[in-house]
Amino acid sequence: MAGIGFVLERLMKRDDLIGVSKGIGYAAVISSGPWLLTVLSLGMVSVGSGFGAGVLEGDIFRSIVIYNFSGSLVLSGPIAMITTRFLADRIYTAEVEPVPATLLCGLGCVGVLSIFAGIVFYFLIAELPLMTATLAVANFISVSFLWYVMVFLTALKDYLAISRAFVLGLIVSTIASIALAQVAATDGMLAGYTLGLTIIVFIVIAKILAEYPYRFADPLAARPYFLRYWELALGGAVFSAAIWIDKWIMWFAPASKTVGGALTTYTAYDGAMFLAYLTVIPALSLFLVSAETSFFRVYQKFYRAISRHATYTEIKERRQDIATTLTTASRNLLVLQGAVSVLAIVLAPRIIALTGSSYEQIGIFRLGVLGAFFHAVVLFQSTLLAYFDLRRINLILQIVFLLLNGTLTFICLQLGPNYYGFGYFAAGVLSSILGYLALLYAVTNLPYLTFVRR
Amino acid sequence: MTEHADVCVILEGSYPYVSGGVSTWMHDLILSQPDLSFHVLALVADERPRQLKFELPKNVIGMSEIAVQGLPNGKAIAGNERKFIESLAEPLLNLTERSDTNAFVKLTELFAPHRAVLGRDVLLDSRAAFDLVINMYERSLPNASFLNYFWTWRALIGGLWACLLADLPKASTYHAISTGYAGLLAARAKIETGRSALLTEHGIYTVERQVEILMADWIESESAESLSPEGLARDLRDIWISTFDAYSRVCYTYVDEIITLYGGNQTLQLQGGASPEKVRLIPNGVDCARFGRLTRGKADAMHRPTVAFIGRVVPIKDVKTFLHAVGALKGHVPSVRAIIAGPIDEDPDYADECFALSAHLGLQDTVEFIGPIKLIDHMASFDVVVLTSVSEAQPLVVLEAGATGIPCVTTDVGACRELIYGRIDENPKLGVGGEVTRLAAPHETAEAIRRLLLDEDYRLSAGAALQARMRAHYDKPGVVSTYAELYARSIATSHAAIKINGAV
Repeated sequence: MAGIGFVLERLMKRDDLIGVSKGIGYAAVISSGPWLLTVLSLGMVSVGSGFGAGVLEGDIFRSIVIYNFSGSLVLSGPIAMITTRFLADRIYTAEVEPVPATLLCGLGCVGVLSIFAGIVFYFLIAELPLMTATLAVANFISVSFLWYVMVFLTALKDYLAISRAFVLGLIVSTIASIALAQVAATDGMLAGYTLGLTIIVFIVIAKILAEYPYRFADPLAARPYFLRYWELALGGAVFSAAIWIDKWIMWFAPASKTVGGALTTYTAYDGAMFLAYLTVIPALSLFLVSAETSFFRVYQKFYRAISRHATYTEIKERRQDIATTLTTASRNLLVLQGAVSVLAIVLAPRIIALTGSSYEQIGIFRLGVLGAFFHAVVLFQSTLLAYFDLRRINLILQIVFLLLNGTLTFICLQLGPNYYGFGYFAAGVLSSILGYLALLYAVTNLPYLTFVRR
Repeated sequence: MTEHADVCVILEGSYPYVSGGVSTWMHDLILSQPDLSFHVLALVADERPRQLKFELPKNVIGMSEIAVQGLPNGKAIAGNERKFIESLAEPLLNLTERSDTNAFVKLTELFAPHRAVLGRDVLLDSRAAFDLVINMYERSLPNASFLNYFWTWRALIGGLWACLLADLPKASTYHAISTGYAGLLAARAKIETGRSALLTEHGIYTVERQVEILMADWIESESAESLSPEGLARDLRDIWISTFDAYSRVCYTYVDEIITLYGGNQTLQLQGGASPEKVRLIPNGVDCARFGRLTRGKADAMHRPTVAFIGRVVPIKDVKTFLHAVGALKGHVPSVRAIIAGPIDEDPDYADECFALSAHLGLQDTVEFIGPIKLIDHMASFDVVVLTSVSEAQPLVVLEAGATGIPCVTTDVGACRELIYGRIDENPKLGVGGEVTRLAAPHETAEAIRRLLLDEDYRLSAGAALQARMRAHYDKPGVVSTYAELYARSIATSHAAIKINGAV
C-alpha cells in the first residue's frame, strides 16, 4: 500500500512557516531609510541652493535633483523590494554566496534602466545644455545606485561604518556643491552633489564585497522572485510613487515654474513639503530603532514558539505579547512625534522665516507637517504588514494611499491655494485609518493567518 | 458521468498507478471476470501527474480518481458556515477518538445537502475550520505541539473530507481493496446508496500504518514532556493510530463481506472489529496449468545454480539481507548465480545502496540486477526462489514459483509459512515446499539455499510438494469462480435492496 504514508510524512515535514521568522529587520530599513535620506538630502538642497550662483542656476539644480530623486525612487522600487526579499531569505538560510553577484547584477539592471530613462528625459525631452544634461543623467544614476545599495545595508552589520559613510557623503555633497557653484554654476552644483553620493555608493559596495567575499556566480538567482513576490515588486513602485504623487500633481499648479524646458516644479509647495518632512525624522528614527528591538523580539518569539512546537495556549500568549508591544510602542511614538509636530505647527511662521521661504508657504507647511505625520504612520503600518508577510493587504494599503494622495491633491489643486496641501493631509489620515484596521485584523488573527494560506 | 458498472473497485495508492503485488492481483481479477463491467476508483495522494502502469482491460468501462490531499476550492455554503463547521466537531471527535461508527453516518448526513459546494475554502482554510481544529485540539491533546497537531489534522481529516465529497461512481456493488480511505468510500457507498459493499484486504492497513507511525521520527514524541503520573501519556501517535483504527472499523461495520488471503490476517481483522459472520478467506490464485507447463530440464554441466530474488528493490523487500546471504552462500557454492529481478526506480537511493553493497561484497560476477521481467519467460531457469521481505501478504512470487515446481526460501512474513509448510489443518499433508527463516537473518537464508542447491533430491521433492499445494488450494480457476460467485451474490443483494428501498 504505497503512497499515502509517504504523503502524510511529507505533510508533517512542512517547513514553510510563511518564512517570516527571518532574522533580519529588512522592512524597517528599506521603508524608512529612503524617505529619511530623501528628507535630509532635499532639505539640505532646498536650504543650500540659496547659496552659490544665481537664482536660475539654483532652480535648475534643485529641479534636477528633485526630478532625479522622485524618478529614481519609483524606477528602482520594484527591483529594490525584490532584492530585499531575496536577501532576507538567503541570510535566513545562511546561503549568502549569491550576494556579490546579486549586488552587481542588480546595479547593472538599475544602471541600464536609469541610463535609458535619464537619456530620454534629459536629452530628448528637456532642453538643457549638453554638459548639464550629462551631469543630470550621472546624478540620476548615482541616486538610483544609492537606493539600490541601501537594500544591502541590513546585510551589513557594521552600522557605525555605514553611518559614517553617509555622513561623509552628505558633507562632501554639500561642501562640494557649494564650492563648485562659484566656479561652474549648475554644472558645478550637480558635479559636487553627485560626487558626494557616489562616495557613499562606492564605500557601501566595497563594504559589501568585503563582508561577502564570494565568487561572482549565479547573478540571476533572484529572478524567480519577481513572479512569486509580484506584490512586493509592484508595491515598491506604488509606495514610492505615493510619496511623490502629490508633488507631481502640484507641479501643474498655475504658479509652477518650468526650467530647462521640461523641469516643472512648484517651489512653494515642494519647499514647504520637504521642510515639513524634516519634522518626522524623530518618528522615522525611533521606529527604525524600536522596530529592531522590542517589536522584533516579540515577533520572533511568536514564530519561534510555533516552530518549536509550543501548545496553542503559549502561541496565544506570544500573540498577545505582540499586540501589547505594538500598542505601547505606537503610543510612545505617536506622543513623541505628536509633540514635535504640534511644535512645528505652532512655530511655523518662525521656521518659514528662518529658511527664507515665502509667507504663503506657512499654510502648506502646516498641512505638510500634519500630512507627514500620518504619512509616517502609514509607512510604519505598511512595514509591519510586511513583517507579517501580508503582501496582498499591504499592496492594497499602498495603492489606496497612492490613489487618495493623487486624487485629493488634484481636487485641492482645483480648489485653490487655500487648500494646497490638504489633499496630502487627508490622504494620510484616511490611509492610516485603513492601515490601522488592516493591522488590527492581522494581529488579532495572527495564528489563523500564519497557519492557513491567506 | 460514466455508465453504470457492475463492480466499482476502490484502491488506495495502488492500481493502476503503482506496480506491485496488489496491483497485479487487481488487474488479473478484472481480466478473469470478463462478463462483468468494472469502474476503477483510484485514491491518489495528490494531483501530481501520474503514469499508468497497466493497460486497462476492456471490461473497465470507467476510471476516476480522488486526490486524498487535494480538495477542490469549493464555494461558500448556503446558510451559516460557522454553524455547519461547528456541527462537525462532535461527530469527528466521536469517530476519531471513540471509534464510534455511527458518527460516520452522521457526517455523511451533514455533508449531503452541501456536497456540491464544499471544498477546502470552507473545510480547511476558513476561520471557522481553524477554530474547529483548535476546539478538537483542546479537547483531545491540549499539551501537544500545535504545529504537529495542525498538520496531522489536515492530513487525517482532509482525507476524510475528500472521501465524503467525492463523486461516487454508479455501480451495482462496491469492492474496496483495503480499509483506510478506500474502506471509508465503500462504507459511504453502502450507507448512501444501499447497494452492497465488499472488502478484500491484502496487508492489514491499520497494522501497516501503525508500523509507519511508530517508526516515524517526524512525529515528535511528547510523552517525555508530560507530567502525567500514569506513565506514557497520550501523544500524537495515538491520534494517528486511533483515527486509522476508527476508519477501519467503519469499513468493517458497513461492508457485507470481509475477505482476506490467509489465516494470520483474518485473526487481525477479527481483533480489529470485523464480525465473525462476515469474514472469509479467498487466497490469491495462480495459473498452475500455465506455470506447470514450463519445462525444467535436469541440471547439465553448463547450468550455473541459479537463485532468484523477484521483487522491487525497496527497503521493505530487504534486498540487502539477500545480498549478504548470497555473499555467505558463495563460499559454499562458488558458481552460484543470483538474479535480482524487479524495478529499481522506485527508491533510487536504496537501489544505489544495494549496488554499492553488492560491489563491496565482491559479488559483481554473481549478482545480476536485471530489472523488471516477465516472470513466465525466466522462471524455468531458476533453481530456488528467495524472498527476504520484512512484510508481505501472500506473495504472488511464491505462488508462481511453486506452480512451476521451484522450492522457495522465505522469511516468516504474511502467508509464507502457510504456503511453504501448509496450513495447520491441511489434509492430506502435502509436504515441505522449501524453508522459512527469521527476518534479517542472512546466514539462515544462505544455509537454507545451500541445502536446496547442493541436494538435488531434496530440491526436487520440495519443489514437487509446493507444486502440489498450489494445485490443491491456490489454483486460479478455483479462485476465479469463488470471486465470480461472490460478485454475483453481491450484485443480486444490491438489486434486491433497490427493489425494496427504491433506487438512489
